[in-house]
Amino acid sequence: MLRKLVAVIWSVLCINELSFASDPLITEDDVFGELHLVSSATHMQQTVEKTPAAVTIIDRRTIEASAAVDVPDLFRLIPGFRTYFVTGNQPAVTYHAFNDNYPRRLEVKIDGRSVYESIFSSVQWTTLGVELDDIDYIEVVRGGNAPADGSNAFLASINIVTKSPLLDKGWRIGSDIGNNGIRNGSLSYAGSAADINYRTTLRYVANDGFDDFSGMYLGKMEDVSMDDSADAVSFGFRGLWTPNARDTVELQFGFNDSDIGIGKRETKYRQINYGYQHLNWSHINSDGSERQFILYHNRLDITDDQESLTFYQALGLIPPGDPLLAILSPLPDKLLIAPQDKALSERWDAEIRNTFMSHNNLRGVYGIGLRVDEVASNSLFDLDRVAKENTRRGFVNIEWKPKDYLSFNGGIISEKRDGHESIQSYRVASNYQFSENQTIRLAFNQGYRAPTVLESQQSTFIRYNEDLVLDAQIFSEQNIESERLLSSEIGYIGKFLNGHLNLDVRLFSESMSKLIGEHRQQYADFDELVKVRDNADSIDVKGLEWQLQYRPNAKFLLHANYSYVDITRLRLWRSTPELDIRKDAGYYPRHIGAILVSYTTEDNTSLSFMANHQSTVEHNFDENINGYTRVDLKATKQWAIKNSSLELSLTLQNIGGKYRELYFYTQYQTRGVVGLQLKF
Amino acid sequence: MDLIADKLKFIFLAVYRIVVLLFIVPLIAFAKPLSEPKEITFIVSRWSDPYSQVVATVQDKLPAESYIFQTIHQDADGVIDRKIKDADIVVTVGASATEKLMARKPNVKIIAVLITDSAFASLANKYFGSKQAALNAGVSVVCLDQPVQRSVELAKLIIPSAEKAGLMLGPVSYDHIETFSRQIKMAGMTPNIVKFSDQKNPILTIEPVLSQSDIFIPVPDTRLINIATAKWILQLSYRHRVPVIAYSKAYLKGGALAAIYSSPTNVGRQAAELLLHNLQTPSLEGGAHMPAYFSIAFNDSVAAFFNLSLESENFYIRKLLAD
Repeated sequence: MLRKLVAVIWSVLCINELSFASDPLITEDDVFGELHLVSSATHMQQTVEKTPAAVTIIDRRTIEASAAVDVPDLFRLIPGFRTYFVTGNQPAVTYHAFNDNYPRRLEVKIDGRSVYESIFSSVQWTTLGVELDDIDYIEVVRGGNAPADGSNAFLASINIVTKSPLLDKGWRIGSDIGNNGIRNGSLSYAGSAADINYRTTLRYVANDGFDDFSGMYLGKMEDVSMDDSADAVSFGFRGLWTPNARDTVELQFGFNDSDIGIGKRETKYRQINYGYQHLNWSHINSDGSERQFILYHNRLDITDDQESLTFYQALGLIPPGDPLLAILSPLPDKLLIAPQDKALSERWDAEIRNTFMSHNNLRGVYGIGLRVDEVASNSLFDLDRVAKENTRRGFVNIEWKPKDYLSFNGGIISEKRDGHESIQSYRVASNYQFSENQTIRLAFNQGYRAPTVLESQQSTFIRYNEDLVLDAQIFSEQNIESERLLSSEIGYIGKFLNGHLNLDVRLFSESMSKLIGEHRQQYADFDELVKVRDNADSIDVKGLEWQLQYRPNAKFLLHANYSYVDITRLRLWRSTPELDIRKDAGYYPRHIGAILVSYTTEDNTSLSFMANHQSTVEHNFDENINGYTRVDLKATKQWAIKNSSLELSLTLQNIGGKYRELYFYTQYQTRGVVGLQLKF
Repeated sequence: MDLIADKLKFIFLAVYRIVVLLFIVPLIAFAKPLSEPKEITFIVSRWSDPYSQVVATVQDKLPAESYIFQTIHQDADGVIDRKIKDADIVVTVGASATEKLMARKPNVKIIAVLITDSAFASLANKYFGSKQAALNAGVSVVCLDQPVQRSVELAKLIIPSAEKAGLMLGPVSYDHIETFSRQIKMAGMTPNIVKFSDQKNPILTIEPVLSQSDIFIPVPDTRLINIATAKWILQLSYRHRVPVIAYSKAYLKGGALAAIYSSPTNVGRQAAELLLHNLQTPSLEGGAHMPAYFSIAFNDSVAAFFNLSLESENFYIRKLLAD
């Protein structure tokens, strides 16, 4: 299959070369042609009407109008997305059907660099070092996007595009103070040195996390002391060099040093050192096609403080009289759990990407890439401690427009992990513009998601020695397979009121099989139980989502979205001693919606109202999470003095009450934040 | 005398009747009737917008009962060769379609549309020896590129306080630098012009000029120059708070304050008018026509960023036409 893909790519390359003899004339293409200003779902410049998937753009104006305080807050404005807090400093963002501590199956990129960490199979939002002020726009592809963004874009993908160093110049000092001990500060500078334009930011973020919980839970009084505060320092640099008209080189690097309280379930402090380097070189050909080379490296060092445990302490947990005690007691004492648990997650990724255009209304992008993931941990990989994986990929996405009102998109990616069969994800879509401002989209997607290093190789055992396992906690079955998604959708995009009102509706069906989950199984250890990771789960989702944007002028903005999902999940809960397969449906909110209304007065005072609704989440053993409607307000006043500006803002989130986030003890109470920003 | 006069009158009438019988009647009998529809053949570079929009606009503007329209793709060589023999006039839509037809040098009137002035001149030189020779051979052209003067005048209308107008030229427009300077001065502003080429660093070259301007106008050039500069011009426009008056809707969507451009409808409308004129004119000689119509569009978000309160697009179109 890989050979076939290479053959396809080569033939496409030939099309490119044949179609574009060097032409010095300035033609109508030069006047009407696109200008490579933004990327898109397929890495080609496409309008929303032509993309093969539903796309939401959260632009700078929406970001400024919103009552968001942190980046994850913005995803409340995207249909079908759910933002919640696992603990005070562990926010989670998910799309359709998954809502655990580490929601997976959603690719998140910053300027094209994947921040989906192998060690968590998820995104650590607090360590990204990107805040609202850094962002130019966010592009969200709702629906599987593996043909463009690879395996992790199983259900959706997010690309956070930060501001170019050219967008402003000079200093910016910002500060936020609020309840929950919120105290943030940032200092950034955008300027130039020699031929290089750059932006650099130093930021400090601190808060006390959630309040301690005291109240009834499952009929009992519970007092929970939350230890989920955070102190984080981050630094980021983005440099831009354009030696000539054809070439652009961008370099980014940064680090984040965080001390985070994990919270009640695991009362421990986690120290995270995160660093990244990202190089992007692009070359424009005379015909406007582009060649890109992208290289990046992420490194995440984690140190968890935890309670140590010796062998004799462990024996004390065994009930007196248990025959196991007589067998184990003669053994000498030793340390079983060290006071610190260290882990490392490191990724190198390189990609070469080319765009092409042909005179037959055909254009596309193709490329090859290599990713090297290396994960090490005292506790996650048992005796080996280190797990490494190389993944090669080749992809092509093509758009064909036989008529201006009709376009077809096709994309395929082939991914090959060392020692595994290659997987191919593909998508076909057709967009039919049946009137000037109305478009229908039909799309079909088959996506595969390869297991992450953690998912395929985890084995967490507490051992006395190589032969004696005291407690087997979790291990992965050998040859964990890739998850499979079959999805189809009908989309509608309409523009009304001279383009000031935009409506996007998506009716979809998603069928996921071979999902990687964990089931319980008997095991000859201390608690006679182990979790086994395998491909036994499946989920079917049917639903509807829409978003509406109304911007009649530069002063008023309305943004609304809603999603309804009907989910059926089948999962293997326990395999031995008795087989237990569970079917559930209400574990993900059926209804999620949000509305944002913002108005700016003539004297640059901006007022925003943002409401977010989520219906009930049903649990089998836990109490249900009651549905809630959260209301946020924001007021901003700007003053301009010569070349400087001062902005004062007040944000009130969740006015007038509290609601439960993921667990009963994570209660989101009214939060107030005063922000001050000076630019000069 | 009267008798002689009557005889001469009789002879004259007889000769006249013979002439009519011998020549005029057969002409009438065998000639096409006056009301027979004219055949207009379009040759398009591609089957897509903006080409199809131009064709549709022309067809919409002309009475269907008086014309027979045919549209052929430039690559359908056999069909082109056959159809242009019967056509009263051929309209080429796009530069490559124009080249395909010029290479044939057909004995038929040609109107070339959706083509830039520089592309037409280049093709005319190649196939006819000069632009004037092409016009003499019956080729007419409606140029696509809006005169820079219109952009300059629009800039002044939008920001009357603007004193310095920045202009970026690529190699295609180097020769027009004096003309553009004069037009900027006529609009009451000081020219601040930067010449760019693909060997230069775009940011280092453009930023010093853009930052010292009150408004900035990029002049369209080759695709490489347009793509290589647009992104940086728009970002620098934000950095230095200098609005950009652009030449295309793509530029506008990217972040320019305004765009003044020839829409396919504008092109089609002028092409229809030229068709009517050419079909009624026996002369084979063609003519070069600058765009008579234009469109203006604004980016509301960018206007808000610059704290500008703008009138409607039609207001500025009327103002420019009045001037």
